[in-house]
Amino acid sequence: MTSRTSVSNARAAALSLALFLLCPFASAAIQKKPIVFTKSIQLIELSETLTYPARVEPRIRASVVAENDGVVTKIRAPLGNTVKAGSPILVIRNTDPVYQYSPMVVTSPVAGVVSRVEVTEGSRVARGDKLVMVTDPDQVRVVVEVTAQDVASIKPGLQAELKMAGQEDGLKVRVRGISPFVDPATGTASCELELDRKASKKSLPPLGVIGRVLFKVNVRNGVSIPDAAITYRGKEPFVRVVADGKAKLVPVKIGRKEAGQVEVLKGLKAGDELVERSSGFVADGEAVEVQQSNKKEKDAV
Amino acid sequence: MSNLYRSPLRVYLALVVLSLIGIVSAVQLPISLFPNSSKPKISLCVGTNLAPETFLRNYGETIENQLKAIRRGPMAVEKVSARYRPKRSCFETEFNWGGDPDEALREMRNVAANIRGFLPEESRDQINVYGRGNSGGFLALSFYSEQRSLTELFAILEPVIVPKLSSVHDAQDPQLYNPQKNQVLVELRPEALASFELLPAQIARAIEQALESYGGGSLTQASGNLVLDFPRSVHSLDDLKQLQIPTGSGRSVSLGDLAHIDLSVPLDSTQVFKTSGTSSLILVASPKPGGNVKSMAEEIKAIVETSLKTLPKDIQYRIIVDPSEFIRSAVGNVGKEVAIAAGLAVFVLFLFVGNIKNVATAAIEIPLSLVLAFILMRMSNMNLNLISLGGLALSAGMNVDASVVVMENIFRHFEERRGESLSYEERFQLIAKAVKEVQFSVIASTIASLVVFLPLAFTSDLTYAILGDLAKAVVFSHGFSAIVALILVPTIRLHLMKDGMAHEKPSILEGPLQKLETAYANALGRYLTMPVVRRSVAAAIVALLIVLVTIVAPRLPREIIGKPDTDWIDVNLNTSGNTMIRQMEAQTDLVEQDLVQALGDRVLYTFTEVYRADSATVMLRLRNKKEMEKTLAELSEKFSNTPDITYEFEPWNPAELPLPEPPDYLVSVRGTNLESMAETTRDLVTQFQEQKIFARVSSDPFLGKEESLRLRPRMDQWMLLSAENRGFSVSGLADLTRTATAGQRVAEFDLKGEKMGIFMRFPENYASTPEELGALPIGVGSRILPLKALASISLEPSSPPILRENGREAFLVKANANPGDKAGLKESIAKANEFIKNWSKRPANLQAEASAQPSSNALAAATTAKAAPILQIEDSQMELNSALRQLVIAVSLSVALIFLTMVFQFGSIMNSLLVLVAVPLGFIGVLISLFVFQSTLSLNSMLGVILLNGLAVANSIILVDFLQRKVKEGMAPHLAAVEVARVRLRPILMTSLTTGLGMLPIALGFGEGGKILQPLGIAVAGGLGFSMVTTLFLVPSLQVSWLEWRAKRGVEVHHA
Repeated sequence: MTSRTSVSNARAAALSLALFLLCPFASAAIQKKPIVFTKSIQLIELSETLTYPARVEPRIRASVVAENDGVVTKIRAPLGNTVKAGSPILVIRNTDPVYQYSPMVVTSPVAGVVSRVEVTEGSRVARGDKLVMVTDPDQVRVVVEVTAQDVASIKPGLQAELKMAGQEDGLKVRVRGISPFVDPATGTASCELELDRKASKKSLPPLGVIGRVLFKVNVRNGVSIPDAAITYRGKEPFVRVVADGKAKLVPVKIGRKEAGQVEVLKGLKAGDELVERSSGFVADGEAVEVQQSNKKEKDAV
Repeated sequence: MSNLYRSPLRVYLALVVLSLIGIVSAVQLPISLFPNSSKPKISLCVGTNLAPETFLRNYGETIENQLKAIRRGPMAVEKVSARYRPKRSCFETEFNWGGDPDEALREMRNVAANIRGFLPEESRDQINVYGRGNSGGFLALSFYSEQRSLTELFAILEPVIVPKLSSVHDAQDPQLYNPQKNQVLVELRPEALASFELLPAQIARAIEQALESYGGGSLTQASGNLVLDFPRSVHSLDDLKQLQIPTGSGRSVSLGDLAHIDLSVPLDSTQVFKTSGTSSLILVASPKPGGNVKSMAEEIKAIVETSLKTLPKDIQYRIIVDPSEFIRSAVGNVGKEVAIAAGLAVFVLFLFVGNIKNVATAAIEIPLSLVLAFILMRMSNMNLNLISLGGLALSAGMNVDASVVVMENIFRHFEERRGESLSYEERFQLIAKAVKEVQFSVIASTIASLVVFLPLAFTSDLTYAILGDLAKAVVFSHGFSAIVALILVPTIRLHLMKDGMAHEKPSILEGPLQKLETAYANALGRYLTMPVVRRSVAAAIVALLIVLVTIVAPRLPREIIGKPDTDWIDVNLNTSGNTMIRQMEAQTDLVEQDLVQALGDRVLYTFTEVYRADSATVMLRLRNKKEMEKTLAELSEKFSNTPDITYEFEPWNPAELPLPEPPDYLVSVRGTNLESMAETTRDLVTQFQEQKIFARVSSDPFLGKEESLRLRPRMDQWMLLSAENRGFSVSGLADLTRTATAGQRVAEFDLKGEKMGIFMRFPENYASTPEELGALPIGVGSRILPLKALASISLEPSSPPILRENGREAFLVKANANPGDKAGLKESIAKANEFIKNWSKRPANLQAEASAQPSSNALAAATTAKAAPILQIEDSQMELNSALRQLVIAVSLSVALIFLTMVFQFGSIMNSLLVLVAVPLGFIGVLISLFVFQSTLSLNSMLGVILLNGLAVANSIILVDFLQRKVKEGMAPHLAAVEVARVRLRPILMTSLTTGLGMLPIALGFGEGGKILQPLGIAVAGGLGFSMVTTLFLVPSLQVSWLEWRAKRGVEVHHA
């Protein structure tokens, strides 16, 4: 028992002695330099992406209506038939005695495919009733409702990309026109886009589906940095740059944030060494050890 | 009473019966780590979609008031800490010490039921009440099989084990967690939804309705009643696909056309558990508030064990976290200490007495009073824990004292009649007389050494909760020891000494003892003749006391109570910016890998728990307990907090006692404007971190760099749309974005006997950026509108979470130094105090900086002109300090009590004061030994001082009393003192050594439990040793001085 006590006493004494001796070094050990990962600031091309849901519609969609009262006697071109402009679709027997019950042939106003038939043979129709719809599957248009805020950025001729659900690659589309009128109920103006001529027939999107259109607007040169590189003092944003081996806090003015990147409007210039990440907290003016952000890691991202 | 001595059989039988009851009680005593006094802490959490501040103003204040008003009998709410966070607000309610946890839980559930109707609709089903404390232990088991999939395993285990778990009384919501449990996933096609002008809420409603079944009354028939029943229409996945969803235009569309429906493993669950190694099912159970974690763990293990016997052999289980094992070994260790203490006391007794028969007579008292104490412990609803067992260990050495006194007096009487042949009747009379002589003093001195605990009853709840058990254990067993000494010892003597006289064999230490007695008497004689030395020794002692009290005592490290060693390390992670548990899970996995890599072989395995999107715990099981300190230091070194993630490392042990765990440094930020309070807090945390004042800094509530997307409906448009009969509601759109981002649980249904959740979401990554979210398609008539047309979307800093303690908003900045870095801590606190003092002058400081650096004007501007919140340095150790202060009062009271007892016994104030000289001497010994052995000023060491006071005065009583008598007999004080020294050294040594050595195992702190009581052992053993030696010289010397002074004065008076 006593031998154990003396051993633990001796150990305690040795420990306290060691602690005492190490005290001056302990504080030095804590003060090791933090490592920072920096990135050279470069001016790059920046743009904003506006994303909108879009519906793919046939560019030609003709609704055929009855021009007078009657009974459908024959459907010449049933659903899915390809018709030319002027070719007959169905026949209506006129029930108005003035026309002496003569049959009337209804023709297609456009070339296309019969995409909807609202009547059957024997149907009684009145003047103005919808009979069939003819659409041209080869000519599509894309309709987007653009918010008032973005109307000014979207001009005829602007290139955009159409993405459909489940498809990797987008199709190239182009703004054909935009309505100058913003509907007060929806807060949007309709905008029509057309497929690029080069788009082959095969890759035409199915009609009626909804996809997304991405506009690239406001292309300019500027500085963009990762969101995480910004620190705040109160509400004010700052970044750290390394100069002469020391990290300095620099106030910046920031613009739009998109996908983890922030545009810096003021405060940074090309060639500045920006601190992207650090191994710990860094005070203003503190000496740091610089490591370049790993290239490979960046590529992988 | 003395007639009892004549019938030894009756006495023996009675004691045997009592001992049996005692042993049965001991077996029945529940075992836990700490006393089962509880301070219920129960949380009520409400899920909400409202912003924190809105929820606070509209609902939170009322809830807080309702909680604060809970009062039932002696149980009341002490503190309500409300934390309002963006998705969830929690109200942590602390009750008073001794509150009944079950009742507290019931009261909280009542409040939850009361507020249900008053809360917004979406919150009504998101009210939780749970009482799992932060420090509470839990049990985790994993199940695995090499032949079966987890789903299969779950299907086999769930029906067998889970129903049985509900019978485990101490457990709260034990759960068998299957990380791969399937659910029905309804992956909506957003395009289809928009085409049909539908919103997710409409689909959710349709699914819910289809899953309802209705009762339609009943028909009375001759054969009995016929119940009318509208059963639910959906029973399978195909039924679900065929479910018709009404669209706006009077038509309907089947759900299968709108969504892809299949079984899948959920991507996001409410809580995630993982163990390193094989993937497995995990059973997790934590005790109810006030539940015994050890018995819970044992019951559940027994259930698992018996259940597995009936199941296929390939199903195996492994214990991951088991508090019962830990508690058993920790408590067992202290049990061993009791045995060692008793053994040492007997050994010392043997050295002095030398006769095995006599030693046995006295020593039987130790186990007997222990066993009898168990009866009272059982009756007073105590349990076996580190503290109560510690009390028993302490009293083991003290318990022989009474027997020794009784036995000695019996011997003395027989010694006087040596040579005579005594009849049984004469022997009986002699023994009865001997006992009667000491009866009063034995009872009085026992009461005196127990009365010192009385002031403890008036200390704070915390102190009493911890030390109450110890005091009770000492009182019970020591109290019994006096009774046993007065009844059993004489009975045995009368029974054994049939032949009249026991032939006393001299002790083996007789020679050295006699030499020691002579040496002491000579030394004292010489000391008394050197007045200068006497005076300077007295002065030196006073000076030493002053130095110790003013310089050493404040520097001793303080703690409430030590904790047992453990081989688990808790790594708490906090991050900012995650919204989904699976993000946190991925992040936690990375940290876990890093941790394991950093520690290599030292880690046996890990256990990970992801609670929320921003917090998780990785538990590391070390191979060796002894590596704890080193590993903690290494981890603190390697894993420093970064702006994105904070780490907290602490040893984990399953302590049920809610001991406060205050940070090293605490600053509160108060003010009127929440935003600016949050900003100041964030700044303060950043500054503390950047200046590296403390190793770990965090804020409560945790403030990350969080931003939220604010969606504000364009109401004027909505008015126009509703005129066209196309109305929108905010909750409908919120439902859309929720489905598009995190997804939502719609309902639960029974699929072929298995309960399955139906989870509805959009295709993965359909809306993962704010831009994509804004482009969510919504069908309005023939047009497809983007979400951003119906509501403006902006990225703004999140409204800060709010912490309200007892109705006042505050942010707390908590800082800790690296564990074990005591010197660094002091420096850090000084630096921090300086920093806070300069905080108000800060803008000026920054301006100076700014002028040196022209481009950073904004830096200064940023910090000026704010409605400056008030910073206050809080006393983080408040509870500890107030507990210690109260104990100081308790110590003074106990000294006063001793003094009163002495005055009562001696009838002389001066003599009583002389007796009390032993108290400061003991205190000197305590402080010196605490300092030398680097122990702490804790509740335990203060209790040691109380205990010591009772023991130390016993020695001086012997000296003062005897000297007084000799002087009265006419002896000169000087000579009387030397005579006393010769005669009384042996009993003093005997009682001090039995007690002191009995505490040695505690002072050395063997075993896991040992560290807890170590300060106490060190205090008592050191204090008693020092006071014994110094008392032997100082008390006679002071008494002689006083007697001589009085004699001289008496002579003068006489002359006059």
